[in-house]
Amino acid sequence: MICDNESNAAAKYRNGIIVTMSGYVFALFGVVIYFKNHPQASGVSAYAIAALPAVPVIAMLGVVGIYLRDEKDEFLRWMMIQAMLWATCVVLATTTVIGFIENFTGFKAPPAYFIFVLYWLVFGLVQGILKWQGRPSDD
Amino acid sequence: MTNRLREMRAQRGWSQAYLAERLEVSRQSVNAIETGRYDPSLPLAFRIARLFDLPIEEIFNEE
Repeated sequence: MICDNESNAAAKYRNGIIVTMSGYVFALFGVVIYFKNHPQASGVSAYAIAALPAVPVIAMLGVVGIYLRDEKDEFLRWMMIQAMLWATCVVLATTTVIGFIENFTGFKAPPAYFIFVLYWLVFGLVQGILKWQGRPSDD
Repeated sequence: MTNRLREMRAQRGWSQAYLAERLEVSRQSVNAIETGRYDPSLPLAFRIARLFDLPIEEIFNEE
């Protein structure tokens, strides 16, 4: 039964996002501290450590994928897909514009991980709007 | 597509929550279908029709 109670898929999704977001923050701080203390770090191990914050980010995409696979309510799935499409479009449009500006002017583009932040900001915003629009009316 | 879901639910004195429970979907889904924001898939439309014991075309109209 789904009704007003959170579905199993939604609960799993919420927990997964909390874990991966926490992992991201933890990994990011860890890597920043590591490179502050090891400014001479180089080679394969430095690349591997630098890429560590990407692991929970990739896992977050997996959490979304698992939600889309497990959620039985088609409308909730549709809302998630709408948010993903909007986020993808905004990120592609923004990075394309920034890319051209950077190419032809002296503008310094934000770091590449800005894409991740922008994607989830738009994703969260669209989800909020859709939920607000779809709030159940009084019977 | 338009539908008569709200009207038929009201005729039976059912709440959105009750209908959602019977259809095994969220209340948000029922609201989205009733307000025309979301057109249900064919399997869900069949479930709705079976629940109201009506043919699909008496509930959903192509417009």
